[in-house]
Amino acid sequence: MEKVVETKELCKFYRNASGNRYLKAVDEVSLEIEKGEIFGLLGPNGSGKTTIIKLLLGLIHPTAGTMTVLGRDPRHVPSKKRIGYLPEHPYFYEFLTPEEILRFYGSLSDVSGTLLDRRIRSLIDRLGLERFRKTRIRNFSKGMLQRLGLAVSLINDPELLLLDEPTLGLDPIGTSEVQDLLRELNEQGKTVFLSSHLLSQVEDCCKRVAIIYRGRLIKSGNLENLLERKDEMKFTVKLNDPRQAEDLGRRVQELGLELSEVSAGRDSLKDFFMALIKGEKR
Amino acid sequence: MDLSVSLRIRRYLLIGAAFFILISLAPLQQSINYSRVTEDLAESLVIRPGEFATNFVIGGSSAIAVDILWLEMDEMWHCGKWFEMLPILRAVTWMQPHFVEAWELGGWHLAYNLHAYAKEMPDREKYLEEGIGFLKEGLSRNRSVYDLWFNLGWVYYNKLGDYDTAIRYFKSAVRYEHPVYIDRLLAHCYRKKGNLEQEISEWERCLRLHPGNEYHIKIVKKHLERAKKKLKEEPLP
Amino acid sequence: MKNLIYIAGITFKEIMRNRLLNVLLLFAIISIASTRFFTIFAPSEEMKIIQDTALGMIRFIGMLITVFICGSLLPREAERRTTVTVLSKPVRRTQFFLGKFAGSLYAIFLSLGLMALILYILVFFKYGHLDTADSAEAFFIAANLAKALFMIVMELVVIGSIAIAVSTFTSEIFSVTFGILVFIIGHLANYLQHISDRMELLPLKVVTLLVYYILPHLENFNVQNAIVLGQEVSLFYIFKAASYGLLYTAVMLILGSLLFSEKEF
Repeated sequence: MEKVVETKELCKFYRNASGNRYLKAVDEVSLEIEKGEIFGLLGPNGSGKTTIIKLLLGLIHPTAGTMTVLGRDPRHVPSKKRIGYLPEHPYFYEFLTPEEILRFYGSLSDVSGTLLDRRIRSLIDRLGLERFRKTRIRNFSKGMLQRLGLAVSLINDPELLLLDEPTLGLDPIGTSEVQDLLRELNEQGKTVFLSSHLLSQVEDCCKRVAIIYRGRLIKSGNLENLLERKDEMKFTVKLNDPRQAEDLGRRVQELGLELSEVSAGRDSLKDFFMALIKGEKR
Repeated sequence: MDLSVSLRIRRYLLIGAAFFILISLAPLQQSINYSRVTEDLAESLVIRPGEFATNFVIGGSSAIAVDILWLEMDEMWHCGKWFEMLPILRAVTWMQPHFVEAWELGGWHLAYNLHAYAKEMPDREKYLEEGIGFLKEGLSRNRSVYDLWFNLGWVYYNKLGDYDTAIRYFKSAVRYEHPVYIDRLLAHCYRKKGNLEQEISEWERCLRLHPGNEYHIKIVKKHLERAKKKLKEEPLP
Repeated sequence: MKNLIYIAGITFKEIMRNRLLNVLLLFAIISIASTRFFTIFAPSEEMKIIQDTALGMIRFIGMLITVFICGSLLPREAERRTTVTVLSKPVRRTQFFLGKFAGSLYAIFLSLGLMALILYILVFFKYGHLDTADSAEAFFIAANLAKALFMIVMELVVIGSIAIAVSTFTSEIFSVTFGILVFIIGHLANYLQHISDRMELLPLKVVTLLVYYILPHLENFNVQNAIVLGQEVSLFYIFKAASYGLLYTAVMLILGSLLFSEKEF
């Protein structure tokens, strides 16, 4: 499989303000992302996720180690036509409207004419910005800026998406829409690299993950394999009568198996909420 | 080629280019310094202390300071503060030595106004002398315009009756672009000296010089006729 | 190249919305227009006073506009993190840096043009009764003023290039202050040559001379006094001074773009 991103013992050390002590923002991280996958970089705040993404974009220079993005050095400017980036807190020129912003960034990426017009229209619609297409972004909420940022990252129809906390500032509906979008993009063959500290989000979207803590890569691999509890199976049983539960439990124990957990069927808050809102919309 | 190597090469090339250009500015700067002196634009401490000093203090144009002083001086003139005008005029010409009008005004003010005003005073001639000196100093800084040549000529012509000196100054004045009446003044000098032939020759020169100026031609023809008539009447010595 | 133009365009739009710029411009225009009224007191020197004040204002306010624009562009953008999204697109660092400078120059030229327009209106207004001799004089003054204005533009381009180069690695306040200092020191640079001549110790002499050549010689562009007094300033001189300005600006822009290329976001 073609490797879209590859890093080998990537390091970024910062000199501490008070003396010569180094702050190790990224410490010997080796990652591989294959074409067409959705990859999640997981870690608490301050673990180095944003630093890694910025290194991959050439916004920051590495102290040691090597990396290639789309087969090239991150500082190779023409490759950026094939990359889309969403920063953690997207900022744009306040006095412009979403349409003007998309036109500007599209032009920078060599997209022009009717193609650009079409893309702008479709992105604005897809990301729920139609009502604000001609409003100056000065008064946009965090969520709106996030949507706009996503649109900007997609304006050049990139092969590789680097998303730093893509659902930050979005409500559950927005989050769900973004996740649907990411899945859609992945189905089109795009590679998605997203970083997040929101575990459920990564769990929902990603096939492969890497976990990073204090700049070091602790674990990486296929999500299913990582989370699998090899000695346990979960069954969800539909009951005709509540008393059948006790019966079932006794029978399991008779088989010589340990019953780890029994709990009443329950929706996740997220599913409950989404169903409720969908009902309201109808 | 590895991108980092080509980037490094590019960086060194650019630093080299910047350094090279900076070095080449030195002879260009010397050339500019030279031009500033030859074209009389220089405002260094040595050449034009007044303008340099005001630039130093104001950090901008000395000309504005001069204009403010000029307005103040105008105010003094209207209030009759004639003696107080002098140091201001001095300051103005020190700061902007090519401000010809300042030299003219100063010279006239000293040689005429103050000279007349000091009628009863024992040292009134001093003002006339100072006026002439002031004009001469101004002339030394502004030789290639007619103005101060003319002003000096006028003082000698009008105030002192020294027509020979006046002629010398007027002849210098007409070498540069000048108003029409100065040519006529030359002729008048010869007239006052009583030198009829020179006078006639000058009037004829006036006719040739400004044929399009009707007013001038009318006056010159009148004087020429009178002089020729006088020449006929008076026998040559 | 195209990206440079897009960035310049956006920069220009951003600058023209800056309130400080508009206030400075308004102040300059009112000051220049009002010189018409000072001259009631000295009608014989009306033209001189108008030209002196207008050119002085254009130079001084132009300098303030230039340092505020060029010194604050990059730091403000870094602070607001708008740079990051732009640099994630196929835009070279040099294109970004030069695009920013080009956009600022456009705004500066426009401001200067507006101020110059007021001055020209005053000049032609004075000669409004267009007697042939007077209108010829008006055109002569206008042509001369164009030389002085061109030199002011060159001076501001040099100052602007220094301010933007410095702003790649310092804060907004520092770059603006530095720009103003450069304006003052640049007009006193000549002095250093005389000091160097008087130095006896060779190393001190060399150091002073080095500093003398490195400092921008803004006096090169000062032809204002000569022009207002009707002196002839040769086109050859203008060419030399403009060459100096362009070369110096090139050095500053090279250094600035190199520094910007190394910057981390």
